[in-house]
Amino acid sequence: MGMLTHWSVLTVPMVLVLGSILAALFGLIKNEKAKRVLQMISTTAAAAFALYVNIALVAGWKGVPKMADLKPFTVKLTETLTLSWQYYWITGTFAILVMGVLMFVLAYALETFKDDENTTPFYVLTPLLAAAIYMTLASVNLIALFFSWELMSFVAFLMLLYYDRTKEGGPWLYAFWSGVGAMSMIAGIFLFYLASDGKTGFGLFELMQTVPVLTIKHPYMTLAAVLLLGVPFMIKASIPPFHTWAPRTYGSTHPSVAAFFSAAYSKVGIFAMLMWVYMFVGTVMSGKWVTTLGANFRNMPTAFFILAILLAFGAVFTSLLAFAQKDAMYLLAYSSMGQLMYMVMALVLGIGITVGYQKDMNVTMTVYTLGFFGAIYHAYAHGVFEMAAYMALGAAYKRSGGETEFNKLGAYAHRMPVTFFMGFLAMLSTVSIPLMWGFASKYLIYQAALYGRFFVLSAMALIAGTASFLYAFRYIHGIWWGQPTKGYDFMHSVKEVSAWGIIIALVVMGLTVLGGAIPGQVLNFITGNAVNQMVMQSAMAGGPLLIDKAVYMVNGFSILHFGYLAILFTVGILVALLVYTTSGGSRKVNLDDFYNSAEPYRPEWQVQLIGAFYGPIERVIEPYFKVSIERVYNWLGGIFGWFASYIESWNTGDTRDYTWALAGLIVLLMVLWVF
Amino acid sequence: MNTATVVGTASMGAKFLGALVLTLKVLIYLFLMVMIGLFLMGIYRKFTARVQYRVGPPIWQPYIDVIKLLSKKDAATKNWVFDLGVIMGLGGPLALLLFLPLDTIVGLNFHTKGDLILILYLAVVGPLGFALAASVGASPWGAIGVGRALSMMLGYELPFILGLLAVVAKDGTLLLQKVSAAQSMWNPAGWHYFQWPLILAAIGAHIALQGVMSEKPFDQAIAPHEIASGIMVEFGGKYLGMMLLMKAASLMAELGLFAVFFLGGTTAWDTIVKIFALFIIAISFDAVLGRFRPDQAFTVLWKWPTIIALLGLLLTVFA
Repeated sequence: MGMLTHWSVLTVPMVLVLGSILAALFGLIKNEKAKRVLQMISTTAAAAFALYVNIALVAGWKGVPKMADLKPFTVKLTETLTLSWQYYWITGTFAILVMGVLMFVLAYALETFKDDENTTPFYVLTPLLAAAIYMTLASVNLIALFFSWELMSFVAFLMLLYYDRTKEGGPWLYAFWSGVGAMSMIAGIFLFYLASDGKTGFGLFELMQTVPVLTIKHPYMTLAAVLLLGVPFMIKASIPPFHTWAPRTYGSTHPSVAAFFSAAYSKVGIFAMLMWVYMFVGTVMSGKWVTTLGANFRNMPTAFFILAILLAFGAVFTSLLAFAQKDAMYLLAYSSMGQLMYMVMALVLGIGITVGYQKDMNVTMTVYTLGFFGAIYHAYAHGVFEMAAYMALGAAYKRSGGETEFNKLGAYAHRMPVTFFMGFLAMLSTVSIPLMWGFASKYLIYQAALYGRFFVLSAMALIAGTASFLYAFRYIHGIWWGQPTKGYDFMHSVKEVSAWGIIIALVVMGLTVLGGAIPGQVLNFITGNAVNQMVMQSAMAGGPLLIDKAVYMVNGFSILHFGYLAILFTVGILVALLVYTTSGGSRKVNLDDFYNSAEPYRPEWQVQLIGAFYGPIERVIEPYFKVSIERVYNWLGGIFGWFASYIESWNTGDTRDYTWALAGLIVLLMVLWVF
Repeated sequence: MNTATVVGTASMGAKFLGALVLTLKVLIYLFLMVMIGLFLMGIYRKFTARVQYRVGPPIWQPYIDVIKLLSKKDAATKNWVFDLGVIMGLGGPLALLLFLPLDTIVGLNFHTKGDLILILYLAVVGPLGFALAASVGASPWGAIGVGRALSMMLGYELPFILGLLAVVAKDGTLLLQKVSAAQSMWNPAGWHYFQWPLILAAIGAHIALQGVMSEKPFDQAIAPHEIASGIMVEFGGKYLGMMLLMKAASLMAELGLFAVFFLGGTTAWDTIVKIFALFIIAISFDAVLGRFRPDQAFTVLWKWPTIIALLGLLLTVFA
């Protein structure tokens, strides 16, 4: 890999584009099977290459130059403004996740696209989207970020538009919010320009440092600039109140598209929020805002505390909404939103406490490290389990002829055990069962919240976690078990995924467990040893934190030995196995042979409880969901619509009327000017 | 054979012996806990019967039931995942017991390798395993039972967690041994349960504990007369036997956790006494109360115990 010295930050996107072009060319092949396989090979190979390069750079493998030596890509627009894309460790950390998800989703797409679905747009556009995401992650300049961001949004829109499965307006909702985000970003950039009196070069790192100075000079303008800049980021990370597009967009598309969007694309929002939170700190802790937004409240600046509470509420609400869904795609969409809010909450906690809690440097550094890396690690955990959940659903989707509603699925695990297990492990990780990746990542976030003494916030996060059990079980029961809603004869025609699909499923399952068994090792690997360095710094300052290969510890506060956990969990299972094997035998009975408590069910009737699975508590919580931010938007939209209709009603259809009106206006202005 | 080899062999032998002793201790501990748990279940049946003017079965009836069920040779299964769910269902609570300070009874100290968050999440492995088996069982009664059980979990977890977090706020630790050490073992005045404002958190968590144990008025998930025992509906023979063992292990873990957090911590056997006391209180309510509808139970849990526990937590944090 010594050749990497000649490569620039553009190498990876170019390879992805090449894969995309090849997929487009293979799209001309008439034989459907050959076409799909060749498209898959060309794009998966490009993704695998991209993944390898990023891992090699971040891990600093031998024979590979340091990431700082990778040539940046710059475009000089004016004397003061140069657009720049450059690779730095956080680019690599997020890029590994995006490219990994890309590779698995592309490879598994053979198992999720129905025979009558066209795969060419998927194989052409997904690598392009990944390339645009990569450019966004490598942007070191606001204008460069804007271009990459819009390219990304546009490619994503094309994908959604083509794979608009339910025709509920999901792509257009996405396009609308992307438009709002674009305008907001431009307005924010413009305000930065004004606040700096035209002297800014829009460098992201430069801005993070100069924001406090700008705030002192122009407090309102700088705050407005930061807030406006945050809008597109919050939209992408589906943070309330900018989240309303996500469920319908994720829910209405193809499972493989949703897998990439939810597992990888949404992480751009997390990446952007990471930078944004630093800028927000710079504003609220400077100038006139220090005494209001930056005033210390419960160990954090007030603005940060409000944001964290909002995010925790959001996580609880979306998790409650998730288990009430009747469609698996929507369920996973809401679940995804809840998990994203966890991540941003961890970032807000970690970064917020560095400026708010000044009593003890050790606490500050510990919570910062836990929150910051907890968010990144949970982004990975979420990437893997959400991808696996959507992929498994995609396989059932293909075999059921395109069904995603629970009342049209059920009992597929009898015919697809490996695929079920991928979905099952994904759900175990979602609900944070110990030894799963989702547990190892959420544990860091809980530690951060509790050690920072944010107890109510922690309780809310824990309850959101409990709610995740409900939706996880609905996913497991609704798709994979219970009675087959399409009848027993249909079930016999269902087949497990191919050997290729099984291999992918096994690798994904392995990853889910790997990230939960040796979290310290994995976390250090994906962050280029940044965690170790942070922990060492903390230790030198007398900090109590330890994130070792398989140990999490805040000395005197919390401890978790993953090695002991693995051994003792195995002991528990082995003892249960001992009881199982030494006790009496069993016989296998048919699926329709169940206890019906004297009810007149017949074997040919399928009695699958799905619709009202959580009916009683759905009725309890329903009134609290009447307050909907989407309704507020619709109401606002209605007002704009009414206003537009009103303007339209002026239209007389005769140009002369407008000419007279214009002339009258000019005369009026002249009269006003004279007097 | 030189000296180094002899020493090496000796240390290998010592290591093997050490591992054997450790394994025996683990097995004895788990056996003991499950046996005490079954004994509690026997007390429950006898006690409830007496309250309801019945004679009731003998106290050792659960032991007879378990032996009988485990030795039956004709249990029905739907799929190997059904069996896996049951194994996971029993294995989870057994692993959980190993992380509780009750393990000091046999001289183990595995509880120092994990903390409260681990315990909260390990506690759901068992129920999740049996829920999976019920789902594979494909009976609509089982599905209703699982739906109810998970709904109840959402209900009782909130006050229970708030109560436990109040103790964490006061003691500044998630480590069970430290929470234990922060209280006096036998003097109730030194228990978290009787300290202001933790008493509020304790009361909130104690009400929720009734739900954690699936006792009335929060036993909607079982509800034999309504939904044919819900989750258990498709379980017979060794599967039902293992479920009873899981129930016994879970009882010990749930009551043990509460005793450690609120009733003076633990040094070893004293916790067993406290577990008995807690259990008698729980079954006294169970014997005389009716059952809420699922929606009523959820509303009640998210209202009164939650408010009380939250108040306890806030007062502790702001104290």
